[in-house]
Order: sequence, then structure tokens, then C-alpha cells
Amino acid sequence: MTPWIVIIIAGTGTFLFRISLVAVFSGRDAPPWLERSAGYVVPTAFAALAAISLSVPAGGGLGEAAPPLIAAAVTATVALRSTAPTALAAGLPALWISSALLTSM
Amino acid sequence: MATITPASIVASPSETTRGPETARSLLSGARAMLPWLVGVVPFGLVIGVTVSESHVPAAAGWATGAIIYAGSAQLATVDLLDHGAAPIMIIITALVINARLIAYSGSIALHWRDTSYGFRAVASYLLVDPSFAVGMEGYRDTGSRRTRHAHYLGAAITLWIAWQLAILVGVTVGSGLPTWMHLEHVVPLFLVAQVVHSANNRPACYAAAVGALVALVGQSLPMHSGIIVAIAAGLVAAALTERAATSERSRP
Repeated sequence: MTPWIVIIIAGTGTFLFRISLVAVFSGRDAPPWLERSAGYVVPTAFAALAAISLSVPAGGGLGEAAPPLIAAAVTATVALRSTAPTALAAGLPALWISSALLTSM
Repeated sequence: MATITPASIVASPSETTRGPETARSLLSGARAMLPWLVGVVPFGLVIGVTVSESHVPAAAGWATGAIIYAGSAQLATVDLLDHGAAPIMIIITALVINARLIAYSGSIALHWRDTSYGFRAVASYLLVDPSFAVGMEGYRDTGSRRTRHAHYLGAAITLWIAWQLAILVGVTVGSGLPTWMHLEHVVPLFLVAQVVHSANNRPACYAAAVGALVALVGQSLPMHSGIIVAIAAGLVAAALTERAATSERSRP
């Protein structure tokens, strides 16, 4: 099976996911639990995605695991008081510096 | 200076200002997406580089940007194709990773109920983490429905264009990108900042904390299903926190 077919099938299914509840709730009212939950999807989903991306597989040493966590802590702290790009501008140098210091050459 | 014509006298103000209003909203949406591009473009570059270093044909790898249009699923797809995994496994993995889009669909559907089929089809195609976030924020503001829909489209189209370009650059530049920058961590750090901004109340904080914890624990679950489980757990945590707060308030 060529890569193209795999990609097209995955893409079609993904599009169906995207339009799924938009189509279902087009005419009728959404259930109350959905309306209440809608605002919480962003913090939940993004926290879950970030946690997975920032963690390293077991077996990596402290030198590998620490820099993303340090960078995340710096980013979160700066984000409390400023915009997301500013927080990123603080977190990236933290990532680079801690990586340089902690990972073996 | 607008000239006074019979038509402009007869037409209501909303009809004559509709065009410029929509254009302004498209631009405001595009502007709202710009901060996100700071995080998203490096991710696109990383995907492009991954494609160039794999056995996946460059055109197919780049096309995932338009056909699948979801970074984490694209990365997994390219990776699994490169390792020669069974097609059904690749498809299921991509779909499980993208299952969160159903949650996004449900949340933003509430705002799209008065739109045309055409809008819903295009807007849904463009729905992904950054466009969802900017869209939900935009729909919280007051303003006419039309301008808010235009705001979403402006943001979502900007994202789409930037994404295709970023992957294209990554594919062509290849491993010319520096690895010491750890560009693969730019997106999660950006997500961290967004979580901090969006967790404005206690239920949201619990939702984020539970979501992160369950996602970490659920990494051992097959085919990345931990993500959707984590989102469900986080939403439950938020609902429970809300319920606990209301029962506290109703106590004498």
C-alpha cells in the first residue's frame, strides 16, 4: 500500500472527526454537559499534550529529563505575568542553557 | 470619503459596512494567530526535516500537512511509514491521536449552529489546536456573529498557509536546521503558556493538572490513546470541582 493511500485514509477519518459533532449539533441544542465542558477542553487537552511531549522515555538520565521540565517551569512562571511569546522567549533559553549544562558532550 | 448615493441612503448602515467589517475581522483573526505561529512554525519545520530524513517520499510527507493537517498525527504517520508499520496500524494510530478533534468539534459546534454548510465544512477542515484556541477565545468576545466567524476564518487560514510553508521549508532545507535548538520542544512550551493563560478558575486548574497526570501515566497505553483518556479525565475532574463548589455554596 503506498504512503499516499495511508495518508488519505488517515486524513479522511480525521476530517470526519473534525466535522462530527459540528454536524450532529447543527440543528439541535447541545446537551448541558457539553456546554459546561466546552471551556475546559483547552486547558485539559493542551496540558495533556504538553506533558507527553515534555516527558522523556524511562531510561533517560536526569540530564535528559530535566531540561524540558526546567524550561516548562520557567515558561509557566513567565506566562503568569505576560504573553505566550514572551513566556516562550524565556523558556527557550532556559531549555538551551540547561541542555548544554546537563547533557554530556 | 464615501460619496452619497441613493443606494447608500436607502440601505441600512449594517449593509453598507458589512464588507469592511468582515475584512477587519478576518485581519483581527490573522493577527490573533500570529503569536501561535511562533510555536507552530518550528513544529512544521521539524516535521519537514523528519520527512526529508525518512524513506517517505517528500511529496507525500509534505502532503500530510494538507491532507491530515494535525502535527502530532503527521509526525507519527511519517515515523511509522518510515519504519514500515502495517498500514492499518498507522491509520488507527493517527486517528487515535486525532480523537481529541472530536472534543474540539463538540465545543466549537455551539458557536457554528447558525452557519451555512459551506462554512461548517471549511471551518471544520481547518479545526486544529491553535485555530480551536483562537476561535474559542474569539467567540467569547461580543460582536456580531458574522464578524466572529470571520475572525475564526482569518486565524485558521493564516495558520493553514503558515503550516504548509513551514513543512515545505523543512523538507527542502532538511537536516540543515540546528539540533541544539531543540525545536521539537517549542510547541509543548507554547502549550504550557496557553494552559497557564486558559486555566482561569479552579475547575480549569484541576482539569489541566488531571489531564497532564493521566496523560503521563497513560503513555504506556497502546497507540497513543492516553491523550483522549486524559482529556476525558480532565473534563470529569472539572465537572466534579464545579459540583463541589456549588454544593459548598448551597450549604447554610
